[in-house]
Amino acid sequence: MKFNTKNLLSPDIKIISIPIISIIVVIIISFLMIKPTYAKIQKSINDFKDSTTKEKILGDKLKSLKVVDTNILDKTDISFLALPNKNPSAWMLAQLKNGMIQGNITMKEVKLVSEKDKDLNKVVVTFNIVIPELSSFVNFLNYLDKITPLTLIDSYIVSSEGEEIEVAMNMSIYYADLPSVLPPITEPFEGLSQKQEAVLDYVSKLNRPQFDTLEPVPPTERIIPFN
Amino acid sequence: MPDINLLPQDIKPKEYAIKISNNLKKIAILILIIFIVSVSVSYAGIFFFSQRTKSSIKKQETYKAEIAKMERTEQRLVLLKNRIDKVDNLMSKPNVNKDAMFLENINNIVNQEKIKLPTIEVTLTENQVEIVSSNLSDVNSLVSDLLNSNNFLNIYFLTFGYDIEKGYKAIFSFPK
Repeated sequence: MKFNTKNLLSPDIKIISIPIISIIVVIIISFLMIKPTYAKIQKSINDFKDSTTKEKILGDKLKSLKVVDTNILDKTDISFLALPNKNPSAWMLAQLKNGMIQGNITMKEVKLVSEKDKDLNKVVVTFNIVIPELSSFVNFLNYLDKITPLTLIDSYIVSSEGEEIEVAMNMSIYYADLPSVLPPITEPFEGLSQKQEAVLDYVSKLNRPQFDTLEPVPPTERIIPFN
Repeated sequence: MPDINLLPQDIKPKEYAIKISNNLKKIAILILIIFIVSVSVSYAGIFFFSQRTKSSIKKQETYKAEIAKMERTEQRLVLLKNRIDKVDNLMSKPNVNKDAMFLENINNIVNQEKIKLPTIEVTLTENQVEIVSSNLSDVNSLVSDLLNSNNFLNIYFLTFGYDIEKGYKAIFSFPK
C-alpha cells in the first residue's frame, strides 16, 4: 500500500491549526486557573479586611483604656456597696439601726427571707417598728431611699392605736454574682454611656454603711493573782 | 543566486492560509501576554495582601500585649459596668420609695388634732388612708382640702360609716 500524504492534514490546515491549538490551550489553562486564583485573591482580601478590623478594634480598645477616668474607677467600691456580690443583710441591719437611731424609732420585729429574683438574688426584709410621729417616719423613708445597699420598699402600713404608731414594712435588698470572665480581648470596648454615668453618679451619692473598726490594742499587763 | 525551492508545490501552504496563520499567531501571543499579566497581577495582589495581613497581625500582637498590661483597669471597668447595669435594672423595678411625699402631703393636710389616721396603707398599686373623726364638718373640710391640694392624681372615696364609739369613719383610695 502506498502512503498518501494528501490524506494527512493539508499544509493550509497545518499552518492554521498550530496558533489555534495554542490559543485553545491558553484559554483552557486560563479557565482552569480562574476559579482557584479568584478564591485565593478573595481569601487574602478577606483576611486582610478581618485583620484590619481586629487591629482597629484593639487599637480603639487600647486608646479607650488609656483614657479611662481614674475618678470613675474610684467609684467601683460604692457600686459594689450598692449592689454587693454577697448577701448584704448585715449591712442592711446596720443601716436600719442607724436610721432608727436618727428618727427615734424602735424596732419591734424583723424577719429576713432570701429569694431568687431572675438574675438577682433578693432578701425580703419584713419588719415592724414603732414611730414617735408620722414626720419621723417620712424622714426614715427618705433615709432608706438614700442608702446602700440599694433598698426597694414594696409596701408599708402605718397603723395607730391610741398614742402608739406602728408601721409594718416590706422591703427588698438585692445582691448579684460578679461576672466570672472578662469579655474576649477582640471584643469592642466602650466606656460608660451617659446613662451609665448618671446611674454611677446617683449611686455614688448614696450613704455607705458604717462599719465599726476595732483599733489594735496593746496587750494589758497581767496581774499575777498569787502575789 | 536565485532561491531554489525544491519542495513540491502541493505541500506549500497557500497565501491566504499563511495570512490567517500570522494573524492567529498574533492573537495567540496577545492572549498569552494577557494571561501572563493577569496571573502576575493576581499573585502580586495575593502577595501584597498577605504581607499587609502579616504586618496587621504583628500590630495586633503589640496591641494585645499592651491591653494585657492594662487588664486590671479593664477588669475594674467591666465589673463597674456590670454593677451599673444591674443597679439600673433594679431601679426600674416597681417600688414605693418615693411615696414618702404622699405621706408628707397627708401629714400636712390632715389636722391630726381633729382627725385621726388609724391606717395608711401604701402599696405598689394604690395608697389607702383611713380617717376617723367625731365631727362630720371636719371630715367635710378634709375632703375639700384633699381635692384642693392638687397633690393627688386621683382620689376615690371608698367607704363612709359611723361608729357610735369612734365617730365618722372614711376610707380614701389614691390609685397610682
